[in-house]
Amino acid sequence: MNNPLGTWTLFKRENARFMKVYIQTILAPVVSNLLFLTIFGLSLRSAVVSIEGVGYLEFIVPGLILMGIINNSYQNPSSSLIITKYQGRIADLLTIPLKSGEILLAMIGSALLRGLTVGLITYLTALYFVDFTYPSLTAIFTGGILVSLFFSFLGVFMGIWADEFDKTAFITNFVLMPLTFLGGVFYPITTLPDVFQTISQANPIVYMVNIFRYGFTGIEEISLTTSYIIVITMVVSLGILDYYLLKKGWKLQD
Amino acid sequence: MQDFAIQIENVDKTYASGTHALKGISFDIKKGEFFGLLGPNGSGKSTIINIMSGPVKRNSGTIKIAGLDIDENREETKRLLGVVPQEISFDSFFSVNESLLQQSGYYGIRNNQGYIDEILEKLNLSDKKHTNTRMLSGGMRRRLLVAKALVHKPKVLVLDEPTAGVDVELRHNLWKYMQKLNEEGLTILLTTHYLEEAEQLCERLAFISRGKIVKIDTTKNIIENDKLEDVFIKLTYDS
Repeated sequence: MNNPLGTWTLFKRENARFMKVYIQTILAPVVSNLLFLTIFGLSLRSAVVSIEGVGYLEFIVPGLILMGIINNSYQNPSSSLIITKYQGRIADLLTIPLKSGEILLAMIGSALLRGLTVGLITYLTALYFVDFTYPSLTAIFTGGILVSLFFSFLGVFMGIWADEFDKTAFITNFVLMPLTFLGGVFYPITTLPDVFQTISQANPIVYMVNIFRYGFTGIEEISLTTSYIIVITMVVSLGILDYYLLKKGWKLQD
Repeated sequence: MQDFAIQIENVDKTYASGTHALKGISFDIKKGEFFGLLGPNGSGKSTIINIMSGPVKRNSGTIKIAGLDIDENREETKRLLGVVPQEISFDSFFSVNESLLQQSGYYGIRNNQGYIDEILEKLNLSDKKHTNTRMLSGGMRRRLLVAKALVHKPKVLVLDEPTAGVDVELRHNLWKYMQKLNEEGLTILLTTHYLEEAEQLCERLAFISRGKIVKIDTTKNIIENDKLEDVFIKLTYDS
């Protein structure tokens, strides 16, 4: 590493940025998830008897934790980069002696921290309502980290690409949210009609939810091996793309 | 080779918009020199600075800082440069002191509080140390930009119109400080619209017009027969 202290400073700066507005960045998503838990979980727990022998609350909590991880891992680098562009400070990032990989490392590290913090708080809060059996802690840890990594990389990509808030809002509301809601967070994919099951297989979030939920419930809707291969491939590809774009200065340098 | 702080050779830049900002610019700045780059708005001054420091890519040509090619030694040359940009922009999440500690950290410098305090005092910003950057006046923000450019003790300081919006007394103090740093060995490249400042401070001047260097000479030679303002108008508007 060329400049470890510089990388650490940028990482700390990114963390300080989201911690200065922790009500918006940490508390608000946890409260949203609690509302989902209350509305969908508590109200439907008696209507939905069980899914593959698992209670409905136990079924949806891993999905809700993932929603927190997804949204916050994505939001952190995307909003940071867009605000930086919007305030005309992108030159600050380009003039400091950090390599592209170091900038990426700092931004991804902070996005992981924020995403996993929201996920952890959601999990700890959910413990009040649900008892888990944890069939695979490995799936929980690897699934959580892979999902956070993927959406952190996606956030960096969006931050590089977008030059106004409207573009990221469009992606958040018209791509990310539908994919998340249709990714099996609230229901098992296997209950869908065949056509929709096939369509769902094109949704990357389905595979992420599958790994993570398996860790909490043991339910495996899609082969875990297939899910890991797809998710790891996507994480690595997007990471390489981000690094390449940062190195090239795409949309950052004139 | 090592006697030059900045070597710019045949640098050409056309922006995506089609604007041909630099047309094969070449000039050198010696180590320890106080050098002025003068030209009207849109002549290409900031483009040169932004190519040297990173935000803008050139189409062709080479640039060396202290003998190091900026492409082959990107991080090393960035460490050698301190840049005060023309546009005032700040990270509104942080105070003056936090911003300067961060800037030190980016350059790999720990425990820089002593030097930061010294710079703040020289720039009359000590009483604003813990003030959020959002709350500073335009002149204070500009001085904070100077402080940010100095925290890592660069070898070459690039000042892109650093005194715009700064009142007379503070401008005087700023230049006294810059002259002191220059005497201690800091190379300074200055762009300014205040011609009297350039005349007083700079050993040599280059005039740029429509992306071309139209004259480069010692200040003494340039003002030998004419006022600097007349030379400026003649060279940059008539060319």
